[in-house]
Amino acid sequence: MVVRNLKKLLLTGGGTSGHVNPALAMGQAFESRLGGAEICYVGVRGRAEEVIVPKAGLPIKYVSAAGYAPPRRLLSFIRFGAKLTLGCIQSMAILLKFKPDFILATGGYVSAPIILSHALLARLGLSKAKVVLHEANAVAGRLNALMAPHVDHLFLTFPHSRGNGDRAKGLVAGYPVLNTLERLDTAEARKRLGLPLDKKIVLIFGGSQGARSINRALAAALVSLVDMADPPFILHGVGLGSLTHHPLEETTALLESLIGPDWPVKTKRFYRMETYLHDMAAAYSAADLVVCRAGAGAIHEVSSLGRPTLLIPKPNLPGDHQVENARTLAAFGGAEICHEELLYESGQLVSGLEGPELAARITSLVFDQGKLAALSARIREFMADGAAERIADLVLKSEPRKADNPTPVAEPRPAPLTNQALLLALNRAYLARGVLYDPSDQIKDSEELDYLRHRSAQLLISPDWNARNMGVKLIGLLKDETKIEPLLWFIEDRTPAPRLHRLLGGDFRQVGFIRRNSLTSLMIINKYVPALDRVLSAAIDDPYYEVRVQAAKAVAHFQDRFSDPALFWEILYRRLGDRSFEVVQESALALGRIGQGEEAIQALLGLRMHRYWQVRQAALESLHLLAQKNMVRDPERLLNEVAGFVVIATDFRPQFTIKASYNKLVNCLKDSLGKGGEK
Amino acid sequence: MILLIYEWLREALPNATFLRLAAYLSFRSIMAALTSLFFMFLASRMFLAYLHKRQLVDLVRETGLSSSQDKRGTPTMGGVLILGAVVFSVLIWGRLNSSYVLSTLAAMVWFGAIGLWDDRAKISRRSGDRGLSEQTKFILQGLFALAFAWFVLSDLGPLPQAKATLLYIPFYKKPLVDLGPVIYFLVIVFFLLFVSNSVNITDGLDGLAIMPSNFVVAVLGVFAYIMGNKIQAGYLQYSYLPGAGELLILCAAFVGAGLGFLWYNAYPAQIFMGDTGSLGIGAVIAVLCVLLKQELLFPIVGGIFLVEGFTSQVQDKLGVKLLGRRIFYRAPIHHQLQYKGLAETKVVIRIWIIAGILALISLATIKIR
Repeated sequence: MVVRNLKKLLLTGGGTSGHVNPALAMGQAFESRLGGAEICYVGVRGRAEEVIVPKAGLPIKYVSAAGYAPPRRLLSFIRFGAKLTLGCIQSMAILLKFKPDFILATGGYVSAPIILSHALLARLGLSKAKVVLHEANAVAGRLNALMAPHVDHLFLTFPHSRGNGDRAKGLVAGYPVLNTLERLDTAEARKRLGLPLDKKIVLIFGGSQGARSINRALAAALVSLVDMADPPFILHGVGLGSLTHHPLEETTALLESLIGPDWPVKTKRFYRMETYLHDMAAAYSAADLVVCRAGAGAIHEVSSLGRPTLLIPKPNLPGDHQVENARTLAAFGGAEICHEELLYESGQLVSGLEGPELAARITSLVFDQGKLAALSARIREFMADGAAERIADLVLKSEPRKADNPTPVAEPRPAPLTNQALLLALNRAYLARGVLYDPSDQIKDSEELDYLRHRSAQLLISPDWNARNMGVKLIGLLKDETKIEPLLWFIEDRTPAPRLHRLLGGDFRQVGFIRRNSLTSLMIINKYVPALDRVLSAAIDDPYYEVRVQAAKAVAHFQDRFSDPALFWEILYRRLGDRSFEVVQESALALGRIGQGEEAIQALLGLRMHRYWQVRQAALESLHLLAQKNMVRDPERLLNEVAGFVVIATDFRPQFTIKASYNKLVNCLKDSLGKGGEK
Repeated sequence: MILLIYEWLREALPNATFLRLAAYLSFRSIMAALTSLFFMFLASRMFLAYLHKRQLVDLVRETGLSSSQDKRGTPTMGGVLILGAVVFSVLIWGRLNSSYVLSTLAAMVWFGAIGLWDDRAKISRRSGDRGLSEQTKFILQGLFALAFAWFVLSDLGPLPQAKATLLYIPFYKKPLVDLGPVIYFLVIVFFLLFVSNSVNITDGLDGLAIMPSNFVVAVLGVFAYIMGNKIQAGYLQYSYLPGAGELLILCAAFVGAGLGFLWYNAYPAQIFMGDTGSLGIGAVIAVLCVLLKQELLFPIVGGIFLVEGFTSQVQDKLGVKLLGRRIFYRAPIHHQLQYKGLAETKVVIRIWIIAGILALISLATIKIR
């Protein structure tokens, strides 16, 4: 008997079906070109691959792996390191036993142990496999970016992948799929699905499992569509759900409460709900507009069928990759984006979409024939089919990096600014420009600015207060007027902190820094809203002194814009007896701005013997302001009383005259340099 | 070195009895103090010129106080001078085969070197806030602390093994407990790390760190003299540590160097000690306390450092990082006083006064037991 010398393929990658399916597709393409192959899949137990791979009839082995955690989060980092080390040992055993010729990886953290242990074994001459890594998303996963230097072939889905680094110039191959969807004739597809032939049809779905925020937003959107004379027809895939998520029941209940128990009758003429869309090809072909998530798989499908699309990227994923996917396609002109916003839900901030907003986006787009045609024409060019076959051909036949290679090489792009870097840059600009500060001077691209605002707002729903605090600061520095309300809500939120934190001296879930920085951000945004009266007057009585200080500053800042400044008088008088001298100081300054009459003057005079000179100085400044505004009725008496002020101070500001001279010269030279530069 | 010359001369010239002076601890320590003081006077000008020429100057630190802006351009790394003066003076006047002295000098130089590296890193990265990472510093300090703890507990250490692990408390004659080698080992490591970093944190205003350090070292010098002297130790009922008296020379040299440094460091400062100085000084204080069995005197004599280190750690680790609020109005304590509106000079002098009071209380513990 002749033993056929079959090549061996090791497939790896997982976590979600978005990683498993491309791996299987690449495996299939390699197998058919090699005339058969022995295939083994390596994944992590309990994730999507555990279900999908056996269904595809392939053997699967499990290794241990964990998602990347930064060293800052020590416990997670140790767990990550331990799991990765264990996974590497397991992977080495698999590699030594199976001896693959090709390792086809799609990332997700599952691939990391295999690629690392291969790199190690290859050094020792024990593994001769070629490693092929496919990056599904427009921004490289943390571990994929780290692995990129260790692979032989790197392929990308999108023409511009961010964060791969310079060393990893990948080839743009598209997204490998097992079965390509066939475009059907529109009328035929509608007949097949039993949809009206003469209406505009919108297909909306959130993946096979369903997306809660899309379902909720659509239910709310239907309320506005019910009253429309000629609404577009909505084909809605609610999704199969999971153990903890039951989209069909949830959506039905929501519709009942929003529209009434007779919702099926009221919406029958324009709405159809399906748990699972079995014939995706027909559904796509029948639709005039597709509304979906921005996973790489979905983008591939709409692109390959050329459907005009409204993308609702899922926020807060690793590397914000759905948002980056969507931005890449939108920048290409192939789709529109509708970002998730912040919503309140039973005392919590959550990410979601307003129903009327979604309804408006859908109707304005679906009835705009010219726009639809433009999107359709553009998206068709976005991504080519046959990625798996192309990758197999390139790897098996030729060196992929030759100059005459027709496959485009992706230009490496830097990863987007991190929140910390953004904060530093904006803060510097703010300190330099003061009231003239405008974030659009710093971020010229308005699309980028919108994106950064969206990303910052999404930080507000994080369970980690550090992230929320970062979000609060960025919202202020990005001057996002639409987020004033969540800032006000943060200041007022009185949900207690965890018990341990309270024992150590914490108070509320929105920690002191968040409340203080929310006030600061409101001042930077510099827009008066009527709710400020209520929120500020409560914040001046906050248990944490820095919040009280900042609230008093805010009162002085918005001085003449309050509808009723008298509202604050009583509170400010009370704060003149605060335990923290800084609160007293700022309250005294605020009284100078908004105070009136004899009462304010007497209150300020009461501070003339205060223990802290800063307070006494603030009182003097404020009295001066009031005097300038002609509010002093009896200057002579005031003159006598002011004489009682203690003007001895424990501090002084040293004047180093030589430094003043030095700075004068340096600034003069810098100015002339700056002018020269502008010319 | 003087001792070697004296021994040689005594044999060569048996009649020159006035040379005996060189053998007395009191004379040698006064001379050590004067030597390091004049070393500072003579070397500082040249060193300052050198630092300015090489642009080894302090950069803006983001403390949020406007007056700290004025510190820009002040040369840092003055600690090199202090450590140099101490080593120079001890080499001349000290007994060089004393393991008490050698281990203290080793700690000073090692920590000083870590500080020097940190200072250089801050300057080359053009930022007063970004020196060595906290972890790197911690590991380097920890390495020495481990080695030192092992040294103290081993046969090689200067302390008699039976006494090494005893823990004494102030105002009480007898040892409180015998901690045993394992716990005591950990105590030494923690103590060394905490004290050296506390001095590092205290070094934030002109002249703030050096004077309290001088008080602490002077007090410890007195303890070294008593415990190294059989009669005094017996009279005051301290456990006699043969050879510990040599530490008095080092303490005296240190105080001399400190005063010489203050000459230039007094407000407005012409030079900063930098991490080189503060870590080195912290190491000296910590090692002296351990070798003289006065670990628990430190909270009194070094109360300033304790409060500075404690407030700053609690504020940063518990408040800012965990709870998201400030626990103290500001930390460390000298910043708090500044924010409350005290001028820098006033803060510094007040803290000196407190340090002086604490030193007196510490000296009182010699008798009141």
